Amino acid sequence: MPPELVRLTAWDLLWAELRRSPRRSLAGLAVALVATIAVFGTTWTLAGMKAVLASDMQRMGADIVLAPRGYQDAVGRLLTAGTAPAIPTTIPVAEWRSHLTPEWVYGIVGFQGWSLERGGAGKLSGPSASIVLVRLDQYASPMITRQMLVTALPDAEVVVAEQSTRQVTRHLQLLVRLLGTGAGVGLLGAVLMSGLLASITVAERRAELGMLRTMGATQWFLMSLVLAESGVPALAGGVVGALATAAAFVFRDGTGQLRRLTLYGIGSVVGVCAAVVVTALLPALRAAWMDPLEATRR
Amino acid sequence: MITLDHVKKTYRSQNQTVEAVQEYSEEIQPGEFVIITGRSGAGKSTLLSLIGGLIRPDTGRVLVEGHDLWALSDEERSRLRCRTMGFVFQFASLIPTLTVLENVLLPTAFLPEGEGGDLNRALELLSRVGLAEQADRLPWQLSGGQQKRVAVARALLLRPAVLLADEPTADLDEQTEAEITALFGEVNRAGTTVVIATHNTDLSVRATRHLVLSGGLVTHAS
Repeated sequence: MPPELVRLTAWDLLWAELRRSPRRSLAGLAVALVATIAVFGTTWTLAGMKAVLASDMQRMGADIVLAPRGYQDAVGRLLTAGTAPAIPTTIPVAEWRSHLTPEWVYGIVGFQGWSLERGGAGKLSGPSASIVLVRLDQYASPMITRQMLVTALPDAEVVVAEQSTRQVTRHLQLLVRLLGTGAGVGLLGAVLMSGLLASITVAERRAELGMLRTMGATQWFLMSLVLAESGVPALAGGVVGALATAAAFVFRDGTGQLRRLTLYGIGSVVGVCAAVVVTALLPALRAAWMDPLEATRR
Repeated sequence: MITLDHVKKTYRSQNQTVEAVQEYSEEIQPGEFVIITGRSGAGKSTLLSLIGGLIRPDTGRVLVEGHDLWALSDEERSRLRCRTMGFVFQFASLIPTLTVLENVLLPTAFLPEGEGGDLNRALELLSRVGLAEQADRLPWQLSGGQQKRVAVARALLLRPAVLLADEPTADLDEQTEAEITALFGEVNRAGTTVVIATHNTDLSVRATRHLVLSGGLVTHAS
């Protein structure tokens, strides 16, 4: 009868090692999960802020916005967040336009009524508008023009777009700093924790790793085994973290940018896993280059 | 055949240099039973590591079955070790999450793709070391002596031409020590070259050659 040949694989060994200390494997998974949420959440939020600011400024194309008295905050929100609460269409566009003679106000190259009757991003208006978007000549100073507009249209609230967005940018800078710190701390935590876990694993298993070497394991095999022991829980944690974060964004924003969101998610998982694996490299190299016989004596 | 050709190994630390094995040449013929004795730090384990290709000599060559171990790549050397050498250590070092049978089959993980270990041989070896009934148990369910016997079975799975053992009978009770020693004798009679580094001079009864090391120098050979 021919012999029944069996063979353990590298996966069998990896699985045996992951099962050996479930708490440690779970710790590696949890650390990667938190780091991925931090990195993914931050990068996506920052990219979203940048996109909103860029697209709104471009779409509106307004250097100055004229609004009825009492609606300055609503205009500010429109300029920075892209949406505003409802503003009634009470501005007679043609009449307001007629006050802006070149003797009084110069530098204006565009004048457009905008309806925000139902709030949101608004749309072009008819003869009556909620607000008026004013575009200036590239050499005109918005602040000087503002002074002229205040005099020419005493009933109007005059909002300089640049000023409004600058204020938001100041707030954003703080938010960006906080988010960036959060992501950095998450990533650094993952890196330190995984390095520590890999070092403990190698130190505890010196004898076994030495024994595997005497059986025919190559240095590359031992190094890969140690790296995989850190990388596999990190990958699992990263995937779970990315799915959870993506689900939260889709649920909150109902985003239609699924492809972009997926790319950010994959990028975050890859980044976190790469950081974890790089940190485990030193213990892995130690495992690969140790003296096997010395190691087996503990 | 194992050939040590002007082999020398020195360990250097910040403050001191230790000549673990002074320049030494030796030939061990197939089927020999060699024991290496000497005091702690005499260089026994270093000599064993050199024979097994686990550490690189500072000078000289180590040839196993005609292959110069350090002229080979790490992969080739590891493969040669997997196919021709079995190791037994003072501690069994079994993997706690694998069963006794899986631990015996562990060397198969390092065979080339498409090759495997004989399951019947693994069971037969477990039977020979008196552990056939424990094949499905986990290592922690065995005594220290039983674990050591599993380690011997593991070392013999792929029918190695050379069995290298480092203090295999240390920390064992008399009965287990006698069983392990008898097993080495049996393996040797079946044609396997056995090289043992030990404090236990009782093994010299079975040895065809007895090397005594002191300060990295073979002071006596019989």
